[in-house]
Amino acid sequence: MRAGCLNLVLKTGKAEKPREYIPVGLTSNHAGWDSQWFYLWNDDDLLPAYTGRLILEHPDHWRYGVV
Amino acid sequence: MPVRLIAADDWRPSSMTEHRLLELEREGLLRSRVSSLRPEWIAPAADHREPRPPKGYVVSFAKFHCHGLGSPLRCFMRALCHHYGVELQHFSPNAITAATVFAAVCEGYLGMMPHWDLWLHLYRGELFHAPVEPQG
Repeated sequence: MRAGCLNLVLKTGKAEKPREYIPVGLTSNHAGWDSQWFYLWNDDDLLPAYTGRLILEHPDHWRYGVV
Repeated sequence: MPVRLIAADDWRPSSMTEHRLLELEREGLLRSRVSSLRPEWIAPAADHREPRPPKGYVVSFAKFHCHGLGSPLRCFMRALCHHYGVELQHFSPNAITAATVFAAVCEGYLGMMPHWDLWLHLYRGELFHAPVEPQG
């Protein structure tokens, strides 16, 4: 996808932390959010430059970290 | 095993106007535009069907700023981009919320900068799949 493809979520799966957190639903409606884009100054080139590339794969390291 | 995404979305033309961006500025969600030579934000030109940011600019979304994306951007966002190998536009609005909440807990409750090992311990990345309409 070109935008909005990376979601960051708490590790709450059965294999990770079963019943450790209280489930909380997000109530916001994001309908139409992807048509509200604009250009933002990238202070000191803090963020990677825009290339427009597609994210086609979910690399393994997105899942793992310090355990 | 890596998960492959089959379909890719096209960009939708932007509905953001200078008027709407000024509203975000008035709400304190964007910094003041200030300089005409290097403004803090720019509304896309009408003929930009997909993003073509000028040099030195990235693509952001109004929703990101409503969900806590600070401006100037936190070093934490830079770390997230580099770790996950993505650009700002690749985050979902809920991902911005998650990062903002985490930074607020670290800074406001734990009294420290966002801690990278704690982030990796608590959070993982997921590839969002847009719903695909069944054919036929």
